[in-house]
Formats: sequence, structure tokens, C-alpha cells
Amino acid sequence: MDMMQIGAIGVAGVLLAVQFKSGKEEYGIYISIILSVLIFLAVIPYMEAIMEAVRTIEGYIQTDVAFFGTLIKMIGITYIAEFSSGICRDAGYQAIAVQIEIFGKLFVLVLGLPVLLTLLETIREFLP
Amino acid sequence: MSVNLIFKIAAVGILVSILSQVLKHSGREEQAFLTSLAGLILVLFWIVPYIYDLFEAIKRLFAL
Repeated sequence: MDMMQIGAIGVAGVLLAVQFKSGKEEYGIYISIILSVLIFLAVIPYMEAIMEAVRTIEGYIQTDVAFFGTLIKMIGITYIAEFSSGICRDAGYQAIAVQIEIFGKLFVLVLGLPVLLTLLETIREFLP
Repeated sequence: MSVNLIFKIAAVGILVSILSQVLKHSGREEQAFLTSLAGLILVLFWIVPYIYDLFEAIKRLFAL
């Protein structure tokens, strides 16, 4: 699944989806959903390689708090939030897309809180 | 696997829009609505496993 195939599939799908702009809108949306799903399924093997690299880097740094785990989780959550809010925006429902994004941001914030607290703890130790 | 799925969905879409046009002009509004509903369910039947695979893969990949 190299870059050429992805580009070709994307353009072919969009050209097909444009056909339905006049008559049946919903099929255009189905095609855009299935296209984004397929393109992400094609990127997963590369993501696994990145995850392996991140794990080896994590091995080098001995930290007690699982920063990298939260980081990876945040990436996943942001991706799902972007994916679903993009689809809602394509379908023309901005309000729902904004809600999904707000939920994603707050969830990532909650995930980041422990990291922030440990940072403040370490800073407090330096101060007199 | 991937490309013909897109073409299948497009084919169902074109078929349903033609069918509903024909049914609308021959005066059968309900059948037109029913055919578009059938097309919707058929396409959803194809799409849902892919979306499920995607979210499973994300869960496995990002340890969510």
C-alpha cells in the first residue's frame, strides 16, 4: 500500500462521491466514511513500526511514571476524535463535530493531569 | 478488497437513485422511500465491519 495507491483510491472515491452531490447526498457520505476507514487501515502497519520505536526509546529512559503510555493513548484519542468529527463535518453537522472535539480535548486534558502533577511536584522539591 | 467496495457502494447509490426516480414518477412514493432504505441498510451492512475493524485496530495499537 504505497503512496500512489492511496492517492489513486482517494481521488477515485471522491470522483464517485461527487456524483451523488445532486441526488442522494448520503451515498457521498458513505463513500467518504469508507474511504477514510480504508486509508487508515492501510497506515496501521506503519503505525506499528512507530510504536515499536517508541517502546524501544521508552526502554532507554527509566521513568517510573508511564509518560509514553499516556502519550500513545492521547494520540489514539485525538485520532478517533478527528476522524469522527471530520465525518460529522462532512455530513454538514458542525455542532456535533464541535461536541466530539470538545470531548476529545477534555479527555486528553484529563489524561495529561497526572503528568502535570508530577511536574509540579518535582518543581516544588527544588524550591526552598 | 478496498477498491471494489467503493465501487460497490457507488453502484448501489446510483441504482437506488435511478430506482427511486422511476418509482417517484410512476406515483409510488412509499416504494421509492423503501428502496432507498434498502440501499442504506445494504451499504451499512458492508461498512460496519470495516469500521469495527478500524476501531479494534486503534484500540490494539494505542492501548486504549
